[in-house]
Amino acid sequence: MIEVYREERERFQKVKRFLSNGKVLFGGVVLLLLIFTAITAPYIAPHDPNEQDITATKTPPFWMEGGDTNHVLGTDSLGRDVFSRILYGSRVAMFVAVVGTFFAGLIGVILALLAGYYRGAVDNIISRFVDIWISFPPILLSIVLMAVLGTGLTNVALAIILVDWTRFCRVIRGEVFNIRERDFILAAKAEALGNFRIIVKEVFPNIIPLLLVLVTLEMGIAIIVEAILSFVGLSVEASIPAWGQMIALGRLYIHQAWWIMVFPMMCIIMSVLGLNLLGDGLREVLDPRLKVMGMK
Amino acid sequence: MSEPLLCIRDLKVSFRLARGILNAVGGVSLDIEKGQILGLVGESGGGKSMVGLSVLRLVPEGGEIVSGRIVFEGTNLLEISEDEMRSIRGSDISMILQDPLSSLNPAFRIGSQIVDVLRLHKGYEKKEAELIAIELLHNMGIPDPKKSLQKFPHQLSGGMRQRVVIAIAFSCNPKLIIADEPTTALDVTIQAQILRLLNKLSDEYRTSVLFITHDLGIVANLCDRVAVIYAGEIVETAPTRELFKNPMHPYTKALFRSIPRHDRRQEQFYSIEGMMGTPIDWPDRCKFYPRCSEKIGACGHTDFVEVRACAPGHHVRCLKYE
Repeated sequence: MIEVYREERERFQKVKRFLSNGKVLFGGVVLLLLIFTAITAPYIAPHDPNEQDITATKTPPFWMEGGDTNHVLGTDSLGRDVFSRILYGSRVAMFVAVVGTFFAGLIGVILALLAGYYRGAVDNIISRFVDIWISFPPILLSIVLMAVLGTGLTNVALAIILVDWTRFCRVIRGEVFNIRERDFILAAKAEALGNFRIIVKEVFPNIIPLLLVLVTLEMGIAIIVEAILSFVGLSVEASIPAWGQMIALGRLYIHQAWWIMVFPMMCIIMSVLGLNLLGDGLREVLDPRLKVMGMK
Repeated sequence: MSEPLLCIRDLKVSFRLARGILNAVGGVSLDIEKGQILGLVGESGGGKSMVGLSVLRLVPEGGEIVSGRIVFEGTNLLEISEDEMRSIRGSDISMILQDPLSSLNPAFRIGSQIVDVLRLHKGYEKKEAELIAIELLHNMGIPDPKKSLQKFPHQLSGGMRQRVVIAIAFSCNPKLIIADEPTTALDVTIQAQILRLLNKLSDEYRTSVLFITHDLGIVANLCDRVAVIYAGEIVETAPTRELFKNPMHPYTKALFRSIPRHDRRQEQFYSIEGMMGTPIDWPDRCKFYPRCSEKIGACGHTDFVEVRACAPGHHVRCLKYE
């Protein structure tokens, strides 16, 4: 009985350790909110994001003079509801963040495992390739890629994958280097495990904490890159609302209707800040060194 | 006398470095009989670990077994294919490493680590393997083995972890275990427990052990035979009693003198003068020559010092006994 109780309590403490980290808590809430709005945008948005109302252009947010509770955050220069567009914009941001990060991570991790584990010629080829790839300025590279690939949601994700896999590859390769020198890898070889099995079963589980941190940071980066691309009009088609696009439009009316630009900007800032803090907090919570020292 | 279980002949391992060729192991010959515990003693960097790794053909990258034979149960391990070698690793010959914290994978519960090895080598079902794992841990003297299976390595103490490592090493009933300083990372009381355990298991399972250490005290308690290695060469081998009673090689004697004694007042701890250095492009003469306090005239000129028997089972590589 006491044992069961103790295990329950240990599990509870583990959860508590995660939540007691303010960064994790804040970032987690932001991430959940983003996922929620991205999924439910069609149901919770008060208006069709593309519905124009020429009679009500540049309506201010509801708390300002001339504001209207029908358009909570006001309307843009074409009379479209800013709040609804922001909700829909989160779909683009989340799609790019999730898909882009997943595949960038996948490519990066696989190459990093190969390079870090086999070293020698394999590492040389992969690492030099990464070096060359990284030497292109990332924003420039993604703009060029978009110009070549053409606009569209999947192409944005593709551009982000192609630009950002190197980030994963570099960091994880270093970690794999460390792990493969540890004795349990030698022990696994002495137990006659094959290379593939050692990589998958012995090395990979040990990079998961680092990977988790990288993934959250990368999601923030993906959101920024998408915003930049849609700001310059190289992201999704004009019919799909995206935050960067809204900023680009709002920029023209910044003196008359600041809300068109400021709200999507705040969304980007909050999302990226939240994801970065989440990554930072996870690093603190998951760092095995702190764990060994018994930090709660 | 029957054929020894493991018979190493003239093993040479070298590393190609920018500065030259490093002869980590330079012509080592050893025999281990069935059920015997052989101590391989020497200072750090002397090539003892490399001998152990060579037996499993796990010499680190950059190193290469240049020549020699490692005959295990009649097969030369250096001639068989990698696949055949893998069928020997872990099942016929297994290894215990120095640091029990890093030789267990921190990401998995110890239960699954033991079960994995059992399933891989013996083809047990999961349930079956779990029962055997519990039995094993029990034999290792781990309290409450069933619960211990659910623990992660960092939740166990150093001694318990090393017991788990030993359990994994013994899990497939190997004929030979290579123990590379298995107690160095543990404190003295735990050391004694682990050594007693190893001794017991070696007796029970008739397992031979190649025990690599720098601690002569351990050797005295545990090993049947001792081989002293210096700069990649065996300088003296003898049954443990004989070696302790009658050490002959100047290096062995110096090692004994280096053990701090509490029963004698010492102004200063004895240490062998100089450093071993790195054996890159060394002349072929006696490797201990530069640090030897008993060298004779011929030592500086004679290229190759032969190993000679000076008592039954007692061999020494020194010109003094020519």
